[in-house]
Amino acid sequence: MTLWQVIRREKRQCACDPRRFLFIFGAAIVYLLIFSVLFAPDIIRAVPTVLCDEDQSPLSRDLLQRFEHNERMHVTSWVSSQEEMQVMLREKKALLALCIPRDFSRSINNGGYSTILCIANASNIMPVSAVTADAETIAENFNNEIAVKRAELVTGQIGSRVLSRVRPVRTELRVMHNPLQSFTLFYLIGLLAAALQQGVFFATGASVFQEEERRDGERGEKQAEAVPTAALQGERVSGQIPFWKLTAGKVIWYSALGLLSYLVIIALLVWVLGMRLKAGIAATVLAGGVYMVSVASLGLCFASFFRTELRFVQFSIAYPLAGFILSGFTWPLSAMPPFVRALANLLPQTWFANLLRELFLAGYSPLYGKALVAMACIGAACFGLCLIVYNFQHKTRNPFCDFLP
Amino acid sequence: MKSGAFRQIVQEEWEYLRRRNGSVLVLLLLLPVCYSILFGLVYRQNVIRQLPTAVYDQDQSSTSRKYIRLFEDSEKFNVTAYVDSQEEMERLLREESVLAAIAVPPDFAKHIKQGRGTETVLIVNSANNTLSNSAITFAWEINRSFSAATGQQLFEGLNRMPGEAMNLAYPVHVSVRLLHNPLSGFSPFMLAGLSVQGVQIALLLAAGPMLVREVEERRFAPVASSALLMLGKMVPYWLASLAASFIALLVQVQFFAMPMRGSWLEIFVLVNAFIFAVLCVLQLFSALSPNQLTAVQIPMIYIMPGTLYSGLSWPVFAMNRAAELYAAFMPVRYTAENVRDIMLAGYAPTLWADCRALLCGALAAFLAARFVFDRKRRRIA
Repeated sequence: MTLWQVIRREKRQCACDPRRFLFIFGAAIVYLLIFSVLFAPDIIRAVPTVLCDEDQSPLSRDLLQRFEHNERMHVTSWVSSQEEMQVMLREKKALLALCIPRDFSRSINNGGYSTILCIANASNIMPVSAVTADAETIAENFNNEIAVKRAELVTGQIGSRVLSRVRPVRTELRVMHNPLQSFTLFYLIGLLAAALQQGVFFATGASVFQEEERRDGERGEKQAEAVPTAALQGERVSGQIPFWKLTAGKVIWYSALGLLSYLVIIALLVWVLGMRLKAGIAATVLAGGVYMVSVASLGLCFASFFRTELRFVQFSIAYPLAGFILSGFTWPLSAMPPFVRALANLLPQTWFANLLRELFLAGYSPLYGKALVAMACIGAACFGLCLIVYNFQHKTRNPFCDFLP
Repeated sequence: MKSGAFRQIVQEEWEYLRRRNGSVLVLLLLLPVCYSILFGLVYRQNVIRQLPTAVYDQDQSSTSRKYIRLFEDSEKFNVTAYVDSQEEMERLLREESVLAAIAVPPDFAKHIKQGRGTETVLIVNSANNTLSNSAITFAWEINRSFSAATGQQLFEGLNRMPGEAMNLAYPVHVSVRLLHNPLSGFSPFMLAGLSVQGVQIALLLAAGPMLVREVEERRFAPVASSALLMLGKMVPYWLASLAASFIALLVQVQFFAMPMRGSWLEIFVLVNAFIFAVLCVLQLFSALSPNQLTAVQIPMIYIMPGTLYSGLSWPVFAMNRAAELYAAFMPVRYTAENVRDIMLAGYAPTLWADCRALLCGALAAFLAARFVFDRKRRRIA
């Protein structure tokens, strides 16, 4: 039987088990829907904020109004004392509290300084880091205006010249690739890489275990000399196909399906969600293709260690969350301990998720070639290991080698 | 009679788990603990440090060197390259040899001395928001301090006393206090919630098939009502995952410096409500599923997005209506943040309201599951 015939055989089996199409195409599309809804607001706005004005002067009102007009802050209440402010924070009715102290305007008007109190609940650092940065920027701009006015009086110089003395060094910020720091761009791509992986995993698992069931069926039929079912009659060839060919056929077929699903997802990201793919389509497709080959090989390799499809699914469910965190997609690999980083580098998702995000956001990845080679190596290693395990099972007449009792 | 049947159901389910499903029992007990250890190691550094940074100093004056030294001395930045041209700086950024770059313009010191002001450039690779946020925040801080100090010196040059000069340049100070997680560390931010998600995943893979297996095997058809059977089958999973939850949290406290400022009793109540809710939801999926495999695969769509829908990272107030509605049906949404709050802050203001929500949800799921399961059993009978 040629490799092409093995692939066609796999195709026929898929047609009899439509679940596999559902895994490969459905998982990614459903996750795309679920997570694009979650990240639809794109950036965190309207962080519940409480303002406390102990000074009640025109100057303090001017400053507080600026906080109020900032879109990241949603002023849920105004309070008159720090105690009330603490209560609001404690009850989580606000995550940020800003308090202007008594004598704020008097201290400033007398040539002194005053300190604004900014308290944030930092249990969740995502909204808090953005909103405190905004609060500090507002206060800094306000500070500059006051300082300029005061320095004008003292030095007799005009505003723009005085501003250069008040703030002699300014910084121009250039944020590359994701200038708005959009969470959709940051998160969605990696989550979809994980979903695609899970879909291919389940499909390859289903394929392997159907093969085992068929082999069992054939053995049982021989023993009982029973009449085989029509479905088995057409497909009773698995025993005659060399393992490498059978496995290669599966890898090729499920990689191709995975690649197709990947292209559908890319199309949806670009045309429906309006994300811009900055890299060329050829580079994107090639990266996806290599990823799918490595994931299909990993799926087959993983499946080879289990007795039943149920057990395979149960164990593989434990992997996506760990794989996602280890991929360095959110917490960078460079900040992980070396042995964790080494473990992460054994997973195709680690190479692919960051690569795809860079292809979307930057249009290139300096690690493109390295990532492709790494994924290909992982795929080849898994393929080899898979053959060893199946051969071992065949020789020992023990068709399965569950690694746990 | 009923208590005897109940005990028999619990015992048989436990025996099934222990003898026929030992590896899954191991997974149920160990997965949350393994997640705690693995993610604890991942986040061990806690905050982003040593961001590879390039410096392009076109001025080469003592003032510019003083400015750059602030970045060199900061643990957040690791100045790995000093470049001589814009092209080289951009090449390093493009190759990702550095993730941030600081460019100091020519005549930096001269413009400051002349009171004309000057502008440095900070370029940050923001493909990963976690890195870029950290770089931007600390670069602003460094810049603010340097600018205020330089401004003060300029006013001193105009015959002002140091204190007066400082007040002239910097009249409005901001004192920032970060409650509960003062370093904005990732371990306190994520670990507790991830272990809750670990418990949920472990329950999914272990308890997912429990009712559909009963339909397939029909072991207790004559001796127990559906409700009794459902409750009895829950017990072994409940106890195992309760033990796993506490071990996971203890591991975090003991080995990964997670604070435990609140009450273990509150955690106990909350985790119990959570486990009950997850088990009831899984029973509903199980009752609706045609086979054991589907009973594990279908709830994945519901369980796996839990980490992000829980409000643990993307806050609930930032969700749109559709996302908020979807999250409202997830037990983890009422649990992960509360566990984190109890551990970090010592209290969770919405604890009891969320426990009530969990119990109400659990009850609704239980009744729905019972209805479906009952019908299936009757059909088989």
